[in-house]
Amino acid sequence: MSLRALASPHAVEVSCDPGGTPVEVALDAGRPRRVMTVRDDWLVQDLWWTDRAIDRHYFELVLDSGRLVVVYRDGPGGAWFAHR
Amino acid sequence: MCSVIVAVHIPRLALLVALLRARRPLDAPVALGPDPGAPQVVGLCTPAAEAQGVRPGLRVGEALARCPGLDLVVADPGAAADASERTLERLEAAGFAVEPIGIDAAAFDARGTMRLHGGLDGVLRRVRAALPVGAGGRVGAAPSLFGALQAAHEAPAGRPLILAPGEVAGFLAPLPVDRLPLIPESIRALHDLGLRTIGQVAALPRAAVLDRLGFPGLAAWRLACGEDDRALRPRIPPRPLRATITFPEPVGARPALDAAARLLLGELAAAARGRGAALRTLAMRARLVDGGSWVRDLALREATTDPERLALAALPRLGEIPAPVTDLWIIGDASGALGGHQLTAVPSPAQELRARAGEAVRQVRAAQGDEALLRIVEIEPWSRRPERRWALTPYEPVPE
Repeated sequence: MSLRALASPHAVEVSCDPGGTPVEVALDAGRPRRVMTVRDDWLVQDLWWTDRAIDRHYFELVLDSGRLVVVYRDGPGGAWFAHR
Repeated sequence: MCSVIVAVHIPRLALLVALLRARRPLDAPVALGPDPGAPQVVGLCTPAAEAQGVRPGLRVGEALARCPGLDLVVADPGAAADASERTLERLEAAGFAVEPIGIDAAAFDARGTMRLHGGLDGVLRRVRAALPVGAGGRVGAAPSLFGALQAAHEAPAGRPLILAPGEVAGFLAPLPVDRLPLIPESIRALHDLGLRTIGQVAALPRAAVLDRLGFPGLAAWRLACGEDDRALRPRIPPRPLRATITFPEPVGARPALDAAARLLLGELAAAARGRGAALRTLAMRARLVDGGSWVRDLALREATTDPERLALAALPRLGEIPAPVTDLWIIGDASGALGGHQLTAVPSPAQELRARAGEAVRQVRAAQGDEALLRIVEIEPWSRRPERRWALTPYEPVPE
């Protein structure tokens, strides 16, 4: 038996304001959706003592479609990912 | 016809397995490192390390001072137990009723199999063929269990040591008293009395031994005199069932381990019911993130297939795991009898519904595979990383 992670991250297109906060998110290569509200944001820095260090800035967003998504930026200025 | 006990002994089995996993040579100075959270002392060591003064139980700092080139490897008790179990299975496959003695030794009474294998020589040939290649297994035969075990300890590699009924006491006499099955305090007491060999203990008057060391000492004295009437207690060959989980990332949180163990126990219980048997023992094993492993064996008070009762016995042990886990597996011995409990004459509607749902799940899985029906299990629901909160696992029907 093996466990499969449920909310594995996948790459997304995100546009940010000058402060680095997401303003538009294009999910699943669809058209960009405007961010209505940033409900929460948090930093996760973990496993820094290994060669698989994690440095993520998470945002919990409400899009103009009403959808709630969690995205993160992988390291300062890095790529954006969303959780399914 | 008196007993012919055959004993096998694989010296340093745990070290050999660890060296094999770490891909280190046996002729290098290597020792087993301390377990996580255990006292900082070295375990079994290779002859090259022993030649430089390293001994099991020595503090790591002192061992490194004596042997600067000493290499420490992580013990893997799970793999060592597997290696031991495979040896026992091969002996049982040859028709021997084997009693395991620790992880590195076993014994059986050869009388019932002499004709089958063409005499004692044939039995010993068969035994040597059952030992793992390259492990340097030793074989001894004697009329008593203690004598056979000591003969196996002293036998040269590749040649069995056979003791005739009159030779046991003479053979045991020069061996160190540490070989006697006594508690460390009694062994120390013998050393304090200046007794170094088993022969010196055998020469003591019976009453003096009883007076100084009590009944355990008297039993040891009888062994020293070559009198061993302990009957062998061969094990019932287990019918093992195994369930394994591989975690996407190392897991250290107790609730996550509990959830995974519950899944495994449910799977084992269902498999045991499928065999029409119940689980008697559980062996819980975990591969740790640093490469070592963790092992706990537990015997159930009575054979059962109730996942809740299995969980009650097994889950508290998970708190002893010293490091995050990459794989967790549980092996159950399904040799217990199913039944013995009062059954209801008329099932309740809820039971009927569960039985139908369970049958439906089984049919879908049989047609579409294990991945056809999945369920979500909580791994670390409090985690700030969403991919660690939940996972998908094959759906197991609720037990009837």
